[in-house]
Amino acid sequence: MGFNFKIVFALAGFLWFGVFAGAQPFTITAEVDHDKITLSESVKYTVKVSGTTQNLPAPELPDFPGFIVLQYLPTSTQIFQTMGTFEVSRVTGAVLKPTSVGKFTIPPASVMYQGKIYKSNSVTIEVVKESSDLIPPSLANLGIISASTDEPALNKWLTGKLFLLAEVSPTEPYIGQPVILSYYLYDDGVQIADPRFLLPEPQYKDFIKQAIKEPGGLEFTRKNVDGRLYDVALVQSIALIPTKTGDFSLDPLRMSCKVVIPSHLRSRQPSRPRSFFDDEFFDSFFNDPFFSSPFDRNSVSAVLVSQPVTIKVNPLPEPAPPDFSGTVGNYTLETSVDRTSAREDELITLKIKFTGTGYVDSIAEPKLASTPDFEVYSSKSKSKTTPVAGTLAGEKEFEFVLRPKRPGKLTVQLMDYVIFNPDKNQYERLTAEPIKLQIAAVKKEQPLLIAEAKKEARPGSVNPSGEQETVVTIGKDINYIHTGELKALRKAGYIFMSRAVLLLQLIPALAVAIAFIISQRQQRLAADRGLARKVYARGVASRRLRLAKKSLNNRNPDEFFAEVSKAMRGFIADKLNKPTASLTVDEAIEELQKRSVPEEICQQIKEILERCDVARYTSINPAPEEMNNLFQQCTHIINSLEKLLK
Amino acid sequence: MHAYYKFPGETAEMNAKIALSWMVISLLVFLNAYGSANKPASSDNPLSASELFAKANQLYQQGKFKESAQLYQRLIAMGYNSPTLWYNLGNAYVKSGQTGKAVVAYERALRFAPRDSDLRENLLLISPPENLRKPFILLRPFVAFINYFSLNELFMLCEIFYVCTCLMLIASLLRLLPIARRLIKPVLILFVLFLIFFAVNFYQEVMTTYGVIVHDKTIARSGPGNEFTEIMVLPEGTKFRLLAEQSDGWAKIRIPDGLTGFVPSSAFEKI
Repeated sequence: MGFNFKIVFALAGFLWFGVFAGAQPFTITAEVDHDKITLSESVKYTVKVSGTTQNLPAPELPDFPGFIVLQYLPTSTQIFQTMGTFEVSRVTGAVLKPTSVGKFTIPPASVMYQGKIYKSNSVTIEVVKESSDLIPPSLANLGIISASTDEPALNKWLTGKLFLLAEVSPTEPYIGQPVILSYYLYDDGVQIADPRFLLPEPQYKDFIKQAIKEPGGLEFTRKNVDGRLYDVALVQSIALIPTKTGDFSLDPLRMSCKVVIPSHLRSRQPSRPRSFFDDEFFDSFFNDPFFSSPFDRNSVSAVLVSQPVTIKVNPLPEPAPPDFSGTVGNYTLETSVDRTSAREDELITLKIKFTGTGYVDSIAEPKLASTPDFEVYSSKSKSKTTPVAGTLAGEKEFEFVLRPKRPGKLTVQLMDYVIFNPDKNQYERLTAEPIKLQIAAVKKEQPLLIAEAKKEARPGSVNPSGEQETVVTIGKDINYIHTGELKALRKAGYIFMSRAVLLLQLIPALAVAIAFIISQRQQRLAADRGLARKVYARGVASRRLRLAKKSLNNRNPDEFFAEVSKAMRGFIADKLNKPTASLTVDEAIEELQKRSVPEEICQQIKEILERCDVARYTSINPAPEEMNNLFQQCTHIINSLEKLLK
Repeated sequence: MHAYYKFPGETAEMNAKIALSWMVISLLVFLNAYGSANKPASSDNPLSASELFAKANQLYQQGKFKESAQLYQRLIAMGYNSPTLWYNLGNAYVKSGQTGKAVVAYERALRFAPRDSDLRENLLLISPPENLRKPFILLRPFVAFINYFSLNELFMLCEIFYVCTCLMLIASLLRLLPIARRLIKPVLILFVLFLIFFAVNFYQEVMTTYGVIVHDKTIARSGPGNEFTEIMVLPEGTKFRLLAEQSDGWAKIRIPDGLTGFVPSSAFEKI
């Protein structure tokens, strides 16, 4: 008999999956600390989610019908280890205060895990009436909620003594009509300190909120309520402007403060652990204000919540006039202009001011009756709000800039402005008197005669009466024309736009380039003496030949032959870069032959130099024609050698 | 120190003389060109121009400003566009109530006669406050210095320092003037400085287009069309920078306050 293990494992796996997939991985339970309470007491509602999974979701609290939330408890997580397994639990909740007598069922709290919603059990709480009526009747009807602490006995004592009262006026406003919501702190002989606002702050959805009295220092005044004296302080005051119609429940305001426990209640506090310093002696000793504040030891934290408030926002009566502006409030209309007479080219400012009660920011822009006499430019507006006698009041001013199109007597007319007055429950038509303006034509011939009554002191000038004279400027005008023809009849133009001028800019640069080349050449010649002699040889020889010519003309043969000889020898020595003094004729001829100078020229050079030597060192006087021929021959040979020895 | 081998007769000084003679010739040619740029535009009929000018002045004197302006315009059309003519035309416009056109004429005159006190006073008197916006306090001396000179003057100053720099370079290269080498740097710095001034002024005057509103209370809109929102009311004579001119008859402008808008092309004149 074959035992198929595969089938067994598959079945086991299927069963395991089925068990764990179908099972809830955690439990969720809701509970309260008391299921029967009085109106002055509070109840603690907690939801606990526990399981073995590490990623436990946080539970979501349900709505609490018949209760208001005094305080939301923070979510805490605990981990327990038992027999090698872990258990994780997350707890959250809220402290609730009943708002009316009756039996109330708190719906289940829920948890979403892996796309599924898991729900807890529902909880039922019975709220009964107080045995004794401690709250004045007129306040009890409003449903006030007394301060609440963790001490039940203290809560009973605080009933009707310390609470927050929300006052709304009016409770049934029209849409757009401001509602003033004020929170007052009522205190009948309870010592409190350190008042603070608790989160969450009230959210006034579907209302525009405008602060009237910001939260700050509390100023108490005495108030008699049904024969009972309370210290009353305004905590906060705001204006709410409804934007929708219908019934709206406003979120309560939550506060906390320290409350001093009265001495007759301190000994009856089982929850407070007693120590050596809780002795009556120490109590009386430390309660002495000289040593310490009573809040240091004998105070507890209390929570104050305003009573629930409902507002019914009514729609505006129908039918509304066709030209209704949409503005709700009790306003008066006033118009003014900055000038009633003006020139044709001047601008006139028209101001339209609304003053009264209501939410002035919502006042829509008025319209001017269409007129062909003016051009109307877009306006600007400014508003100012001031709370007056429990309502919003203020003013809003619109400015229009008008430009006359023609001279004459012109009229500006504002169109009727229709508002809804909630104080009278009816629509009202605001009208303004037409504004008459006198517009003068512009005198174009004298546009600049600006009269000025400006006086300028001129020191030193004294009139016959002895009083110091002053210069009085009575007008201003432009300077007179220029009549100089020479300056006038010229052509002005940008000189740098001329192409020739732009091309001329190259010349200085070109000169610098030439100077640079010359400078480079000078440096090269200074560095190479042989090259310099070779370059300048022709110039030096020419100079000597000019001297020779001069001697020839002066019939001075000795000097002539000396200069011709120097010119020839010097030229050859410079070209060959040899010392002139030590260069013999034979050496010169030999060097020239090496440089491929024709034999004929070499012989001529030799002949010239020998003839010069003969003439210089003998007493023979050659004929002038012969000397002239020699000069010509020498010049020719130097020119020829210049070309050959480049 | 280099030791120069000098020969009698042909020397380095001779070469330098050639270079300097080039420079002198170039300067003469330049001055000739400058003179020709400023001579009367039309010399074929100088009498009629003189008569026209005298007649225009006479009409102005008699209070016939519109007729006077027409004659000044005629002279300008003939090519006599001197600052004096623009100034006189501006005066005639002011007196005939055309402030915007007067600002245009004065601004044109100011380009060639920036230190003319009569011109500046008249312009100050008729300009809307928007035109008189002062530049940033640290830039004021710089702007005042640049505005003190006309563009031609700045070019001439550049030219002088340019030629001086070249002369110093030549003298230094050819060792003609021992002090030349030391003068090169300061002269070069002055040349670069004035070149910058010239460039800034050139950008403002030639590269940038300015315009003046000639119709009073011209509405500037947020876009090129009457359907766009009105954003500014510009008084006549407001000077602005022309950012772009569109083919549909609208132009984008920026006033000295920095605001931009579109105005019809017919509402302004370019400077």
